[in-house]
Amino acid sequence: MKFHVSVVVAIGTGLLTLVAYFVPLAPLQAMRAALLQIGAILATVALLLGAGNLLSVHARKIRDGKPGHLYSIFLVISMLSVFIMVTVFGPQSPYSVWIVTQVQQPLEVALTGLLSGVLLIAGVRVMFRRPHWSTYLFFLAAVIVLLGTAPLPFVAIPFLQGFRNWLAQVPAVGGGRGLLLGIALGATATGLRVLLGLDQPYQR
Amino acid sequence: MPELRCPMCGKPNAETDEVCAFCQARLRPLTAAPSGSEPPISPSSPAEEEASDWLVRLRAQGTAGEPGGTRDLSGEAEPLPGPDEVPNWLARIRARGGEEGEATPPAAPPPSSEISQASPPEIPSEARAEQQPGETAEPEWLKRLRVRRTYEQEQEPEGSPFGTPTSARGEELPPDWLHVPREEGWRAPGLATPSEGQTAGQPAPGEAEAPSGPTDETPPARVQGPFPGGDSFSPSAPAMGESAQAAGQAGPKLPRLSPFTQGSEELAAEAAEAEIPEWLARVREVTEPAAQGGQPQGGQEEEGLAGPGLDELLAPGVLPEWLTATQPPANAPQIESETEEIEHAVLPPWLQALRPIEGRAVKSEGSEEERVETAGPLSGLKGVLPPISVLEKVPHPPVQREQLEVNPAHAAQAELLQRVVINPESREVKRTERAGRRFHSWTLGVWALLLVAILAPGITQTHVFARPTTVSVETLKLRTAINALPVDRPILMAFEFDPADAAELEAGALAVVDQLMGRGIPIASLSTRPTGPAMAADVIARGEAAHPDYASAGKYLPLGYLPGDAVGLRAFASDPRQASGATSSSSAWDSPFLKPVTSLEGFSSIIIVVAQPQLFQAWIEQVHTLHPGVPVFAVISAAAEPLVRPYYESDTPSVEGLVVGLAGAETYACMNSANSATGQCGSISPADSWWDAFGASALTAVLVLGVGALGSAGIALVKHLGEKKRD
Repeated sequence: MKFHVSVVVAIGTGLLTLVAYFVPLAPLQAMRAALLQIGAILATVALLLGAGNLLSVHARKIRDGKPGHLYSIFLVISMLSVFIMVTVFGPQSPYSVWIVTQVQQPLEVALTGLLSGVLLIAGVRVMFRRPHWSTYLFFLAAVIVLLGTAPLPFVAIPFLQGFRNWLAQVPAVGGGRGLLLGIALGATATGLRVLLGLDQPYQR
Repeated sequence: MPELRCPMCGKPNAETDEVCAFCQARLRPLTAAPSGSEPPISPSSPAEEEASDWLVRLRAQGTAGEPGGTRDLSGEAEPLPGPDEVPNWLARIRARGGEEGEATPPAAPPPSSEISQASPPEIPSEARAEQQPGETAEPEWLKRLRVRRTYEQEQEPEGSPFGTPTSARGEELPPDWLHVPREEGWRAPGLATPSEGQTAGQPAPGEAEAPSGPTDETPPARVQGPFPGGDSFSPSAPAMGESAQAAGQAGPKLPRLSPFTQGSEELAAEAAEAEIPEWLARVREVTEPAAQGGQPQGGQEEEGLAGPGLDELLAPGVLPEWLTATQPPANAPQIESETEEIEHAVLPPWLQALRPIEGRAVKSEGSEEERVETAGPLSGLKGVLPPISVLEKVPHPPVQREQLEVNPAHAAQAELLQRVVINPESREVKRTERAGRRFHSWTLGVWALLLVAILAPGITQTHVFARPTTVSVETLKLRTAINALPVDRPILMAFEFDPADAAELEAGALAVVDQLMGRGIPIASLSTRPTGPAMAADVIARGEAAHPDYASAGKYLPLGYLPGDAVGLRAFASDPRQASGATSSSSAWDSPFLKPVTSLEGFSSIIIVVAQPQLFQAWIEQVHTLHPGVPVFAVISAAAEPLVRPYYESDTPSVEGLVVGLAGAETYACMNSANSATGQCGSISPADSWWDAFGASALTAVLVLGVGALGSAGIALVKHLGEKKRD
């Protein structure tokens, strides 16, 4: 019985939202807005549940003394402190902003810079390990885009930026549009499957 | 003194005794010579036929009585015992047989075709004559049984071919096989001997062992009649086949019959006459003249029981088809002898190679040397227990090694595997050491080079990298649009990036915010990222640092975090107050700049600061499609440009202006601070302070990639030249 109720609710909600998207009737628009609001609230609750699950997992790890429980201690402490601070002072208070800009942002930026260096080394290594024409093509595209994006000292190569723009806007955009079309078709197919009840992700 | 136990009553007897002193049963079974050693039937030599009388030979062996219960199974004819060694009953039997043999001419041997259809072997008239019972040798219990049997047959109703089963009468009588004399159990079907009629109604030895269920329609009493291949048969067809087959196999072992069944021809004849069915009687009437003409004279005393000749019975239409089809082969030895002469085919080698592995044939029990039991209740019996267990006889297919084709490569691998299994090598793993050496060799150099390239411009405060001199159209459009926005209507700015992308996007966001604050346009911030509000607050705070008047006017309206991603965006586009009311501070929507805003149309434009194209796509699809009249601008990262630019370059663009990457931020900041008279950039923006470090690191990356490509190509070229030289 639960199975049928959930399927009916899912399909009914999806169809109602879809119809309201195309039919500009006031009752349908109101129902759609209410449903979307419920969805947003559920997403927020899901985020809280995820945070609670993360906290319980690491608390269990600390209690059992499993390997790496010291990291879990730091995670629990920082999580609780940020949660209390943001809850008490608000998400845009100077304390909350300080934590983000002075702790989280340097860490993430450092990791991004590390990623850039690792990608550079991987690019060099792949040329030694797999000397293929496609590898050299990758090298050529990377060099052109880097030189066209970044400035050069003392000199400026006029055609280089134009070539970089062409490379980024014609071949890359062509590939990007193909990706967008694929994503759109995939999303449409997935939505239709959910609406028809063939896919039931809510049953998992 | 060793004892010999009677197989019937189990009482001990002297080892030299032939018959039991208590029940007169034979202590030593009469065994026949192996079929292979049996001399072949030769119709052209009556003397040899007489010499090959297996029954006589076996009886002679049975009377020889070797101590220890063993007997020569070679099949060679042993000398007959002397008259003193022969018991009285046997002497009388022999004397009577001799008289009948003299009176009866030797029957013509059947053709081979008839032999092949007959299940039992030929029993000479002499042997049959020997089976006439002696009156004095008959035990008392057998006499009682015969009298009782005679009485029962007299009491049976006439016309019924079947005798009423004794069990049906509720009497505990011995079974019929014990009542019926059986000395004439086997007879060649083609022989028209005087004892043919006598054998009617007598069961074959094999039939005595054949099971037949006593039912109403198939009583245990046999249908007695002159059937070929057996004088009586069980109504059960499978039993018939089995008994016939067993009879065919055990034909030479006729002496297994107990001696107490001998000499009951008279009683059996009477019983047979009483039990002959009507159909058989009619057959006998039809075929009697021919049978009488073909019958020898020796059958006169059995004339009453003599049935029609076997040839007539075997005529088409007389016997049912199933009965003639179940005749077991009786001339198996002849067939074997014929098959031995057949030349075997020679298989070609390739066919022999394809032949599957042959299993060893199971030796039949008959081929085993039969062991004679020497102790226990089975002492004196032969072949009762198998000498070895059956499981030991299960063959194992022999391994034919010559069929395995092993090439040298496989042999080498097998040898290597064997060597590894026997002496496994313990090899040190130097992978960690190699990885560390590689890291120290050139990877560390790359990292050091990058670090120097990033830090050097900041430390030296040099500006060696040229600033962008051209402004892209999309950036100029954004700047122009912001300059045209009304001051009394707020602008919605979405901060859709994480702290990791702040280094690239904050420069562009700061440049745009600087322009907005310079114009005094109210800014409402929103984000679907959890860290978005903090990033927005940081950018706004840095902008307000440059525009203190803006901060005091309270034109910054933080709407906070919008959960639900695409769903939240759609809800916000439908009803901004309801969607963001729970997350935004109450003062934002109560401010005079946001009070007139009841829908998204209340915002003058939307500026999306985004690092990932998927988030930008969600804004376009969920918000812009619902309110296409609200212009959308974007500050994007260089990585998101290929996927965002189509929304700008389409015929109906969803985005009216773009600021792409650090170069776009530098251009925009330069335009914000440009001196209208000189055209030079004014104040140093964050993008300008990072510009040299950005350029140096990018150039270093290009150099590293170039060196790597040259090195790779050089190594490949050297290898190619080396191979060419070797060739």
